[in-house]
Amino acid sequence: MGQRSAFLSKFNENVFKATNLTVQKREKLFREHGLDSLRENAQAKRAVSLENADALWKISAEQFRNNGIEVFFAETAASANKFISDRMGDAKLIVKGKSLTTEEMELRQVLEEEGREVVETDLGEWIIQQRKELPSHFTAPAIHLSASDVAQMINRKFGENLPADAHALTAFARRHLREKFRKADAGIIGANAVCAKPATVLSVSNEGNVSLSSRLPEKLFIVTGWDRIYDSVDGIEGVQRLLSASATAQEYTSYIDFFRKPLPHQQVFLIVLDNGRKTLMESQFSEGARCIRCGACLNICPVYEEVGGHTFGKVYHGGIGALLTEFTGKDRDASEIASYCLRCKTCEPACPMGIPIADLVARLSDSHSLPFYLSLPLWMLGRRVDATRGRQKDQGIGDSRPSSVTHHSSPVTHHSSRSVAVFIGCAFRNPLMKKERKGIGLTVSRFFPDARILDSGCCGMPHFYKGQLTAANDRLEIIEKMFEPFETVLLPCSSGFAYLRERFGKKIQLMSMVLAEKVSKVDSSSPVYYHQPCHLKTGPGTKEKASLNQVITFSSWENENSCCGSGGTYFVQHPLVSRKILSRKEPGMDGNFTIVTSCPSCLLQLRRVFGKDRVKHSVSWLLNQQDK
Amino acid sequence: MATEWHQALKYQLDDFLEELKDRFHGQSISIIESVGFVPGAGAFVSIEHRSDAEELFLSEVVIILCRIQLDTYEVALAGEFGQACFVSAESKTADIEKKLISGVHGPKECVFVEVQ
Repeated sequence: MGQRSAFLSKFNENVFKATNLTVQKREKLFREHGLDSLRENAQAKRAVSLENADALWKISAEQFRNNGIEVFFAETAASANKFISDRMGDAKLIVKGKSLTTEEMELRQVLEEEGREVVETDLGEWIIQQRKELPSHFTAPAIHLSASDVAQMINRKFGENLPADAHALTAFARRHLREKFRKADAGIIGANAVCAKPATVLSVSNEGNVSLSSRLPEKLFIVTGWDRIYDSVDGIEGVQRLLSASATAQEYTSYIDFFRKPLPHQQVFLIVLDNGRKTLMESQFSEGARCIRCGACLNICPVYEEVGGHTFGKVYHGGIGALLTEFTGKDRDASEIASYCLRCKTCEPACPMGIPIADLVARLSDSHSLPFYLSLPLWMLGRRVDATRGRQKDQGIGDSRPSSVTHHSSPVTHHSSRSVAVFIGCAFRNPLMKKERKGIGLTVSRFFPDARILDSGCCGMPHFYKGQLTAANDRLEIIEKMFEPFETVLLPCSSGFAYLRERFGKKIQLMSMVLAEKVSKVDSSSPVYYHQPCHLKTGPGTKEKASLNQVITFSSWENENSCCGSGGTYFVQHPLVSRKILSRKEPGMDGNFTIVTSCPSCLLQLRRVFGKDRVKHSVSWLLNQQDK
Repeated sequence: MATEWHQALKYQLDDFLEELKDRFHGQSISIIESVGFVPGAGAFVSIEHRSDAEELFLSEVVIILCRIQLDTYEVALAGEFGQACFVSAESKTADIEKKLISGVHGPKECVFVEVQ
């Protein structure tokens, strides 16, 4: 689906409502039950299990085989499908639980082409099977549909006359699927985890369809990925609780099924799929293999909640979907999915496995070509950096001190007794940021008179997040030398701050937070709102509002934390998606007001809807308020 | 409520079950003995035959007797079993507009009875 159709899709409002509701419930559950405390142990368990996957699979396979379960390790989706097809024999009716791995294999389609009836039994999955669609979410495949959409489908396809009522629609599905469970020749389910000691398969569900699909038929096929292995059942509860809480905002699903042996009437097959997972685990993107497919990153993703899963056109969606598609997808091409990622990092605090999704997608994009309208400005930014070497004249910085003394634009530094520097950053070279640039210079003169201004262009963050890693690394080397003489470097740009802080530690400070300690309290007659840049949603930048609160009383704005859709150059690459995300910032404010932010990119984006007089940079605005 | 916890302390268990049967008159009811229950995770039920699964998942109402409290989830998993299931609630879904509906495939109501 192209960008325009994604933007215009009527389904996206359903996705927005559903994901927001899940996020609220998940955050409440984590807060009230202290579930963040489970992360450390669960992540360690996952990491050690993946490191020893080979040995653990050997141990578990031997036990399963001794218990009467046939185990097959499949290198490719095709070999897994062939094994299942062979073992199905003359099975005609197959009931199937929800499984992303089987979606990746296109298993249902393969079996249907052989003339078998394959019935998806998860309600959401059954609905999209009838509509011949891919799942639009990892754990909520029909999240994009309203009750009215489902009623229309059932009434048309099954000759019913049901109202658009979730109770009535679910009751119909229950009646329809009950006989399928009873009569099925074979069942297929996925596994959320396989423990080696003792060999145990774990599968979670709320509907009970996994339990029925796995216990009633004579043949059971359990399909799982090579990356689902865990060392032992000890500590698996923590992983399961994090999975359930992150996926559906409940600590324990209604049913948690365990399998060690076949039931007396059963044949059981365990199919372990590689299909690129081992390559992922051994690559520089190995952190991505920790993904437990909970979908928490999708629920909170500003892009996903606007465009839904089908826009990505693949089984896996969002930033993590780009990574999984690159390694396990049919064509191994994730360039389009990766382009949809804002690199805003909003997903990272939500990920129970602590996967640095935005950074991985950025590094993945190194192998993707950029359109010229992005590669050209990035090349110019890098070039401009070099051109600034040795430049001494004032570039519009409102610093009243002699520029030959205060400006330091050469990456080749001479040691200075000064311990504080201010790194201006490339965003303030934009002609639209002229006033802010001047304001920063005046702020330095007044509040940081001993600071040295480093006006050497770009920190390399735009290159990094667009996958131009060589250019980004070149910039970091220059920056490291440039910052070396200073104890503290202040950045007025929140994105640059977050990027450099991760790399250089506490030496990097956000200018607005330091300035808030030095200025007097602001008394504004009109409401002042705070816009939180996405890159300040993690790390020390999360405290920016608290710092500013010492001198500004912000008015309450329900949209202050929501993304504005700017994403640096994202509004150029995906303008309709960007505009749609921006539209979520609009409601809730009337009359005269000011929005304050520390991100130059957010500032320009917000001005597109609120006007340039209402959106101010934190540093230059604080300075102006001191003079009133 | 589709999921309830009861204590059978003050009742003779058989009398209590008769009361429950009266309450769910007209609906198919299964009474299942669990291995034990773990706070949070629910009742741990061993499934040894197809008929066990039919009783647990195809009735409209399931009454699960919990005689033993297991300290942790891991204690339950440390035991010997071929197939098993933690049951903490009735069969439910929120796949349509996030509306919570009970009884999508399995029991519409689940009653846990703590027996001492």
